[in-house]
Order: sequence, then C-alpha cells, then structure tokens
Amino acid sequence: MASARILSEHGVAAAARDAVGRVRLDGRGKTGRRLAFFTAVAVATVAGSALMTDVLSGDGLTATEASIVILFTINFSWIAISFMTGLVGASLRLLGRDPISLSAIAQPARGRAPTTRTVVVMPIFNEDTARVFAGLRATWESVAATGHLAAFDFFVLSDTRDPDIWVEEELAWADHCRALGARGRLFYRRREHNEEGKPGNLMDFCRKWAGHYDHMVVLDADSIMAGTALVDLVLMMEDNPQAGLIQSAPAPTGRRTLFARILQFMSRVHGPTMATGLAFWQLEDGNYWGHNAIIRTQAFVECCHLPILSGRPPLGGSLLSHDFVEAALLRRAGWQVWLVPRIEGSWEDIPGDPIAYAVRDRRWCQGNLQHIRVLPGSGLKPISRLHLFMGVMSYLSSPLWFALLAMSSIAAFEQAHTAHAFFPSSQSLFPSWPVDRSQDMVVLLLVTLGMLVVPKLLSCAVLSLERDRPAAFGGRIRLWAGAIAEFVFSVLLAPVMMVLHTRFVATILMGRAVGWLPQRRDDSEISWGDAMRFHGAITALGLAWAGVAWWISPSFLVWISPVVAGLILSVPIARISSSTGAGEMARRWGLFLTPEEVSPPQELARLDELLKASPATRGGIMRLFSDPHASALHGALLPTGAPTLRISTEVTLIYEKARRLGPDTLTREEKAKLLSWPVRPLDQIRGPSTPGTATAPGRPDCAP
Amino acid sequence: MTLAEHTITISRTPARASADNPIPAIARAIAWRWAASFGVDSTAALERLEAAVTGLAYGKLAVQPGRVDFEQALDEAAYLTIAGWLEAVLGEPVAQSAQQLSAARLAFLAANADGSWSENFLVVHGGTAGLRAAMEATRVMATPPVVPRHIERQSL
Repeated sequence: MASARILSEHGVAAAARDAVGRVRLDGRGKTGRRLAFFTAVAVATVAGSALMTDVLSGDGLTATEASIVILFTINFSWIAISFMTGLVGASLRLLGRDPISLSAIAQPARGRAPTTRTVVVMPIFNEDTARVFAGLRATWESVAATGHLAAFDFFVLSDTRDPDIWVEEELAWADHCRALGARGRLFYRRREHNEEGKPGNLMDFCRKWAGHYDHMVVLDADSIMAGTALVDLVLMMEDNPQAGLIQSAPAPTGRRTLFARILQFMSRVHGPTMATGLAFWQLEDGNYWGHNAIIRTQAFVECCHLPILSGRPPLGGSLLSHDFVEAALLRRAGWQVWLVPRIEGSWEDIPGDPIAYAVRDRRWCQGNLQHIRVLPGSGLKPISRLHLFMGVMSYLSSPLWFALLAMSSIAAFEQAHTAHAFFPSSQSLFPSWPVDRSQDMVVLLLVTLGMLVVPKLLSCAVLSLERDRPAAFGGRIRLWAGAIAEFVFSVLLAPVMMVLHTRFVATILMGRAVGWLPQRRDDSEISWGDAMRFHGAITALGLAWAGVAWWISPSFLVWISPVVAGLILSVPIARISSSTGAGEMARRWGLFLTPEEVSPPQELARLDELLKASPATRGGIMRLFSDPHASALHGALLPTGAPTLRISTEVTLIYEKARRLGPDTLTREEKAKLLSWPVRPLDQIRGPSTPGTATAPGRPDCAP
Repeated sequence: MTLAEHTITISRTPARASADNPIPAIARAIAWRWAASFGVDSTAALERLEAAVTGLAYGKLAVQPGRVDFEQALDEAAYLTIAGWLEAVLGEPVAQSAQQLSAARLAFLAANADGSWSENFLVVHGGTAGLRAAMEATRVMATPPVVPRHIERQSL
C-alpha cells in the first residue's frame, strides 16, 4: 500500500487545471470506460443467473423455478450495476484519481472572481420558517466570506398555502434582509397559485426573473452549501460553456435520531465511493438529484419546461420526480450534465425516522414510476434512459424481490412435499438420486450478499488507509464497528422497505395518487402506537411467513430468517431507531460519527447558532392585526390588482366574523382569504365606533 | 341628516360637538387609527389629519345628503388625504392599488422608525425634502424587475 497514492478529501492541484486555473470537465475514453463497465456488469449478471439456473435445475426446472430465475436475473443486474460502481469508485479513491479526468483531483483556483451572475433559489412549501432562513443566511454569510458575494443573489420561492407560515416567511425575510443589509439582493416571492408544485414554482421564476442571471443554484428547504462550494460550481460553469448542469454530492447531516445517524454515517463513508463510481461512467450524461446543483438558466429555460403526461395521476398529470426528467431533457438538447463528487461543502437533511422516510419514499415512488411513461420519449440519450430505468427499478425491484422470495417459498414447499422419483420412467434401469444443491444455494446467497456488502467494506478500507481521515469518524476501530452495526441494521430494515415499496407500487398501479406534501423535517420520536399502526401488518406478515417456513422445513426457515427477522422486529426497530436518546447514546459510544459531528464546518455551526437565536414564532397572522410594520409589509408583498366582487364580499364577511367572535376563531381558509388583501388592524375590525352606523369594514384598499 | 342640519353642524366647534353630531368623534378616532398605522405620534400631525379628514367628509356630505355611512366616508377621506400627500412626496402614484399604498406605508414606517418624520406628516409645503430620499432608501424590494420570457413546454 506504500505505493498507493491516497489523497485527503481536500485534494491537490494538478494536470486537469490549466495555466489560469480553469478546470475543464472532460472525460477521456468515454467509450472504453462504458464498454468495460457494462461488460463487467453483463458478465456478473450472466454468471449469477447461470449459477441460479444451475442450482435450481438439478432436478429439472419447474415453472416456479424458471420464474425465480427470471426475477433473480432482473434484480441481480441491478445489484451488479451498484457493485461495479462501488468497485470502480473505491479503486479511484484509493488511487487518488478524479473520476472524470482520471488525473489527480483538481479544484478551481479560488482566487478567481466569478464573471457571471448567479442566483441561489430555494423553493419552499409550508416549511419550518426558522430552519429555512437560518440555512439560507448561513449560506449567504459563507458566500460573503469568500469575497464574491457580489456575484450572487438569493431568492426564496414560496408556494406556502398555510396562512400563518406565509406571514412568518414574510416577517423572517424582512428581518434577515435587514440584518444582512441584503435589500435588493435577497428576494422573496410567494406564488398565488401553486400549479405543478416545485417544477411549476421554478418555471414561474424562470418566466419572470431568470433573464437577470447566467446560472441558478437550486437548494431545498433543508439544504445548506458552503460559499466555497458555490464559487467552485460557478467557476466550473464558466470554464465549461457546454455544461448545462453540475451536480454536487450533498452529504446528509444534522439529525440526531439513531435512524438518521446511521444513514448519515454510511452516506459519509460510502457515498463518496458511489458518487465517484457514478461520475466515472456517467461523465457528461450525469443525473440531477433536484437540489444542491448549479444550472445554466439559458439551458433550463430552453429545455426544462416539463411535459404533462396524459391521463390522471398517479401515472399521468404533472411529473412529481422532475429532476431525472430535467436532466434527460438537458442531455437531449446537447447540454452536458456532470456529477462532480469532489465539491465539498454541500449538505442536506434526511428524514429522522423510518416512517417519515417511508412517507417520502411514497412520493418518490410515484414520481419514479411515472418515468415508465418518459422512458420511450423521443431523442433521449441511452444513458438518460438508463437513469430513468434505474429510478424505476429502485422501487420496482422490491415487488420483484418479494415475488422472488414468495416463489422460493413455494418452491421449497414443492420440494419438501413432492416425493422424489427414483425411476422417473419405466424404462430407466438405474435410480436417479436426489441432488443436494443446498451448498450451491448458500454460495449464491453469499455472492449476492457479498456484492451488496463488499463496496461498503472497500469504502471503509479506503478511509482506514488515509492517515488523518479516520479520526473524522471516531477512529479506525469505531469506523469499522459502525460499519458492522450499519450492516446489521440495514439487513433488518431492508425487508421492511421491500414490503413497503411493494405496497407503494401496488397502490400506485391501482390508481391511488399522492401529491406534494410538506416533508416532516424534525427529530420527533415515533410513539409505540404509531409504530404499531404503521408496521403492525408487516409484523403479522413476518410471523405468518416464519410459521409457514417452519412448517415447510426448518432449514428453509433458517435460509429465510434474515427476511422474516426484519419484518417481525419492524415495530421496535422503528420505535427505537427514531429515538434521539438512542442516537445520543450511540454518539457517546463513538458510533456513527461523521466529520460534521466531530469537527463541524463553519456553516453548520452558524446554522445551529441561528436556529437557537430564532424566535419560535413571529406571531403569524395575529401579528398583522396589531403591528403596522407587519401589516404594511404583507400588503406591500401582495400582487397588484383589485379584488373581485366575490373576494371583497367574502373578505367583508370574514371581518364581520372576526369582529363578532374574535380573530382567533378564523379557520385556515378564512385566514388565507384575509391575507389575499391588506389586513385591517384589530381596532378597526372591532368597530363601528358610534351607534347607528352600518357595520363598516370599508373598502379593503382603505385598510391602513 | 338634512343639508340644513349639516350646515348647522359645521358651524359648531368640535369641543361643543354633541351626540347628535357624531362626525368629530369618529374623525378623531379614524385620524388616530390612520396615524398609528403610519407610526406617527405627533399631536400636530394628528390635528392636520383630523382637519383634512373632517373637511373632506363634510364636503362629501354636502353633495350627498341623506343617510351616509360616516365611518366609511371618513375612512375614505383619510385614505385620500394620506395617499395624495405620499404621491406629492414621492412624485409617483401610490393610490392605484392597495399594494402600492402598503409599500409606501412600509417605506414611511422604516424611514420614520426613530420618529424623526412624524412632525412633517401631511406637511404639504416644504419640510419633506429629505423624506423622499429616506423612503427610497428603505423601500421594500421583494423581487427584481420582471424580465418576461415565454417558455415552450417540452414534449416526449
């Protein structure tokens, strides 16, 4: 290993950077790389399929067994792609090679000032206002620290429908504008009608304001990026005029539950390996993950107004998972889409418990299955179609696995209850002995498991070999202990996700849709009741399956035990892993530590400070009734135009209700209607001031 | 109330206003309400607003005698008075929409955060030379100017 060149995460300057510090994104040997990669995938798939066929066909291949082979082959190809990607990624990391140029890793020269204009946009929808603006401000301050703030604007694009959150956003925006001196640089817009969700929100922005900017960086409500990362992305876009989009690899961080800490840990250990491997074979045919990426506005405007699928949701209508399709459309038009794993300083949040994770997956599942309709689209590049296919398979593989396991159970039953024919035909002179292929089956199982586990082990090995890096994970011993614990956890969680995804796919194919719902982004624990309600049926399935397996054959139960164990234990796993106490205990033991926990970057430390300093609430709509600043701000931010007679009438009636019963009796819909117009102060709502006059809420535009 | 009764009412001083002439009391309440919404706590400014509001309201009553919603009339008078004054200060319309007036109000509230412009509120001639600049500096800029683009929807 002494001869291996292992780089720290900060890389070194090298050949991929030219004399003035430009970084060209140029993948050499694209054809050769992909030929080698996909040949390896094909060979592995064929080998796995052949082994499975050989194992099952010892006594001849029944229809059930043939089905198993087909399902296994489809799923094994999926695993083979992931395995080869991990293998390549780990190798490149070990050798210290950039996956795109295959040279040593290079960062753009940061002393250069951007010469273009970039806007950082954050589409939000009924989010935690304090978190949104704390993250945005931490990002702003980090950009300011680079000295290149003049090249950036920031834009909050709200689709919020909750009236109190709407007001909180306006007030928070004004407060942060004032605190940062960001007037004319930090913008806020709330869309009156939120058609087509997030893609519609971004397209509305593009129609009105994209003309001011060369690039836009899209952040999610829980995203945060370092100023250096943003500047690097801008410089790369300037250096590569054919690039339509450059995606960073965001690291999940910030959660304290055991579930989230395990995911954060493995993402930090293994994520860079997979991102490196992906960048190796994708090159300019990369994918878009929806946020923490920079996009050339001209390219986005020309190519990315998404089609509406014919038919109704869930498989028709607006595209929920817009990012993959936008990347495919960019490629179709000839723009390059790059994944650059070495951009450091890009973070996101993840759900804090298995139920929130599953709720998010439900939406992603529907969005990805819609891509079945996009796959045959004209003009799409082959790798773009592969990305869409992989997105579909990330959920469709679960029912295939479920069917595979069910078929295996049936096959085991058939084998256990069918007497072996020693003389299969009356003409045979010699007996046909039963062939015991159980050892071959174990080998196949171990190979499959190995392909899932080996890339993760390699990631740990790569980190262990770096001199200083393991300390960021608590040291080498804790790194490996965490990896083993994560493996056990993921073995238990995988069958639960398999059943959930199978249910999602089934309900979607039966026509049940979900829309855009705000994601739960806090660390609140799941109660035992909620865990039972969500996982009770899964537990029952596990118990029933275990019982049937035992009845079939005790050895079959042993074989299927990793699957049924996860199902049976799903309730306590969900409950315990959602606990911040369990997460804190693991942290005290030094398990699942990440670099962000061991040595928090400036941006994340600042985020924590800002969150602690943020008020719990700024008062919501009630503040507008009593604070002239707040009510004037709200009025100033409304779209211009006069109310219709209907709106005027409805608002008048709502004010009358507020006058008689108090503003705290207003419903959410009534509050939203009031907010469509400048809000009257409380003392005016409580009028009239003299007897004999009619109730006089007055014209809405008279409201001071 | 008949026009004759209005005329009698106008000749009375506000101090002697009685229950049968509700206008002075309502005018004071409305003037106070509007002044508070602009962060103005000056007695002189309040009296200017009250006088302007009352005068406009009586003028309206003179041309529209009969049963009138006093509060609404005084409210509209306050709105017209203040909007007109702001238009004179800023040199641009502020009454074409509620959003415009709210934006102007917000700018005035920010410029008058320390109360330094309260005494000059509704002063028509002079006294507001620096107010326009102060309001321009604090005017809310929620979004940049629109650069409209037509974007074609893609097809598959």
